[in-house]
Amino acid sequence: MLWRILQWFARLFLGALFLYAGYAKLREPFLFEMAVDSYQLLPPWGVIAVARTLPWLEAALGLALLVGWQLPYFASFTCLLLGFFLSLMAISYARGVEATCGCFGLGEPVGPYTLARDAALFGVSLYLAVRAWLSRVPRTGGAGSASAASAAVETTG
Amino acid sequence: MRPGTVFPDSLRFAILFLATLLVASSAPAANSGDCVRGVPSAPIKIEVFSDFQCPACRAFYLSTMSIVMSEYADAGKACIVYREFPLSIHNHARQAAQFGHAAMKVGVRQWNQVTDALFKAQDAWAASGNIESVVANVLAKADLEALHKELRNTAALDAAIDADIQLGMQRGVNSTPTFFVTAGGRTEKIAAAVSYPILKRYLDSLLAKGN
Repeated sequence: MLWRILQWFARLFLGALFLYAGYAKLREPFLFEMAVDSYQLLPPWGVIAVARTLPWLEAALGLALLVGWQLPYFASFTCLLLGFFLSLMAISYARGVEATCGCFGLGEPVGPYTLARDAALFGVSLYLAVRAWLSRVPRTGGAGSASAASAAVETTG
Repeated sequence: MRPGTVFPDSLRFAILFLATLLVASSAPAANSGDCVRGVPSAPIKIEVFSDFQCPACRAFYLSTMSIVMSEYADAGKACIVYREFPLSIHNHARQAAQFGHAAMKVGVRQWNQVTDALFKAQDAWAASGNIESVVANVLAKADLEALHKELRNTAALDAAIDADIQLGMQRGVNSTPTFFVTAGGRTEKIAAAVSYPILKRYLDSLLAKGN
């Protein structure tokens, strides 16, 4: 029961967070372009392309998580996306690039705090993805496969 | 001489002229926080907190801000303000900031010359600490003498630098370059070195809004 509540909380928390992150970027597209540009990884056309698509992707992801539709897939994608963001930020920080996070707007340089926050979010998304896949298994089969799945969960847990 | 007057008219005129000259020559000092390029009435104000020894600040100045200065500030669309924010991890940054402030007191043109030179030759003076030779190469003799005169007033320069740092800290600056773009009564903080094509899109969007 506790795991279910935690999963529910993680799903709503990440869903709301991604929806807000997407909204914050869509509200100020040019400022977000500057945040993407600050990582010094893409040419201007690449910066513009990413800055114009990523907020929509985040908003859609947030909605899917809030609704809970196809949760294992969307939770896994969220986990991959946060892992990608975290790696990008860590690499930029290690390279000494003065990048701005761009996570929820501008004015927040990449540093220990933003890295720790993203690592925590990555942990939550990883938990959600694992739980989503595990809790999906019993629902897909009948009574026999459900017990087999439960056994599988016990062995992995 | 009329009763009640101390000086004859010609002498009063001379004193007035000299006083005007004195005020005019000290104007950049009084306005050290104002536009280094552009006019204060420009629709956009860009305020940069920068460190002469920071590589990202060099890239930002040479690749982005120098173009912004010529394309936007010189066209009356933006006022550029540069503030010193020397980081303690850079051993010659404060000395370079003193040169920057002293150059600003001499004049805006001299500040531009000194800033250009310091950023372009950053690797050299950051290694040797010899800022003087870099500056001496770009300034005219009279300007250099005026700069040396300003540099002798270390206390005033340090006070001006400390005021810049204090202002930056009040505004949440904790890395360089950090710049603030103000337009239409709204200010955005950008804590990164941004490339010119991307910054241009943002500035154009602000101008298009009628700021």
